[in-house]
Amino acid sequence: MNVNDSNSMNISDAYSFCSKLSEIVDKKDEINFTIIFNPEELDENEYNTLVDNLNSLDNEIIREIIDSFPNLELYDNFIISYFHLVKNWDYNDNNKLFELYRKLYIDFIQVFSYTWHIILLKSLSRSIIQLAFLCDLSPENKVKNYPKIEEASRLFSRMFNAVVNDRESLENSKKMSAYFITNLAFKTYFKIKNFNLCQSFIQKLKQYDLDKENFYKFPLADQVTFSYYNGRLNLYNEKVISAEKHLYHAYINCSDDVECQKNKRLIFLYLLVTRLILGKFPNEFLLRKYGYYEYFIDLIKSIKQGNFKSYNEILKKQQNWFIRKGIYIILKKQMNTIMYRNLIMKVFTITTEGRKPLITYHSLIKAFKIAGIDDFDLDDVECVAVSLIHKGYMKAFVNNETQIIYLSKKEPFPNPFKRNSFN
Amino acid sequence: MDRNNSTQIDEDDDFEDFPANDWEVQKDQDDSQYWEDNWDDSDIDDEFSKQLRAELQNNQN
Repeated sequence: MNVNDSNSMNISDAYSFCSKLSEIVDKKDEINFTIIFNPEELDENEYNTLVDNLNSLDNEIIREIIDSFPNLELYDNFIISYFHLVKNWDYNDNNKLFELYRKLYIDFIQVFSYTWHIILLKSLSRSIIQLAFLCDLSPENKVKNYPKIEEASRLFSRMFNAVVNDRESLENSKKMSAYFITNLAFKTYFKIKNFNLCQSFIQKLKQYDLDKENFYKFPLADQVTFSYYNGRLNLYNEKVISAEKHLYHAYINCSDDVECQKNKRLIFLYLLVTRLILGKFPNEFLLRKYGYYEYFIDLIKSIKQGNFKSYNEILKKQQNWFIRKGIYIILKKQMNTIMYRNLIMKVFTITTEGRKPLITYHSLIKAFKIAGIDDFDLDDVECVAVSLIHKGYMKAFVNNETQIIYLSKKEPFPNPFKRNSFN
Repeated sequence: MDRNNSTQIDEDDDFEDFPANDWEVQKDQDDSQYWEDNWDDSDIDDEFSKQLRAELQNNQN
């Protein structure tokens, strides 16, 4: 509760609360609209006085008071829920607070109509998710289920559906909160690791024309956050090229300010993973800047060499960290292509110096063995070569009879990242 | 994994609210000079390359 200051509103009884609110609604004062519905803005005296007053009035009287202000009709249930919240506020009971805010949020779905309501929407939404996290993620919760976080996600879903239907033009509409709500919903889905539920939001954003050019009309904070989650979703679904685009957008638009460093660092990590797969490597400076040098420096070396043995060893050694970051599986499964390409290129460089640009299957079998793949036979080698050619990583053709790969004299190994960018 | 610290660890992995809605994006925030996509096979002297070289050049004799 705040210390009494000269700007605090006189709202220590139901009538003066409603009177003040009526003024605020008249002026469409978005800041005070948010403050008046925040119990934590009241100092202790005001709080106690208000609670006493509310306890002394029954619901019918309170409704009459509200009804005496015609411009508050839209807000009547919401005000009553808010009074209920104030009377039952308990700092020590997050579960109770969550339930109180839940009721308030549901009533707000009916209220939320104008862009000047958006700041309050954000404040309420943040309260919901913070309380849900506090309830479900406390150390006492040993069972690892997330009932409040799941409930929060349902609330955001409901709010989102109510918001996207708005017919006003985008800039004048509560639709401007669409990505904010989506991002909070995604935050809950990522926490409970149920990524499939994100799809319905993405579909609706498309359905209501909030994607493509309209996406860029939303605040940068919303764009960057959404691009981060969307990029990670694509990565999770192994759509690496799309993932890289979204994550790059998040990265390049994320502020460099120190308060944003944590976010930028997270974005960088997943962007890094996509780029390793596609064949673009950060230099040491960048790895150190974001604090990932020790995790990736040796891994990157193995990728460039096509050294599967050391790559797998490093993955195993840092398994726990990679798993925690949700990148272990993708690093294990998706790096093959670029590594085959790099290894074969190495073989090419070593064996064709000054000679015809060809590689025998047999030399590849030897190379793969040294690189840690013991069980490749001639068919496997041919398979890999054909796959690389098909993907445009290698310009060549294979001869099954002579068991030789004949490479283009010009640029036999095109730049993989540029190749992928055109897909 | 240390269960006692799991809340701490989880918070470390969470994307946070930005302090502002909008900000200026610096033109040179594209740090493409720090990314390489045309790497040279410059580590010719590392252990792995030496092994490969030895094995493959044997093969050709």
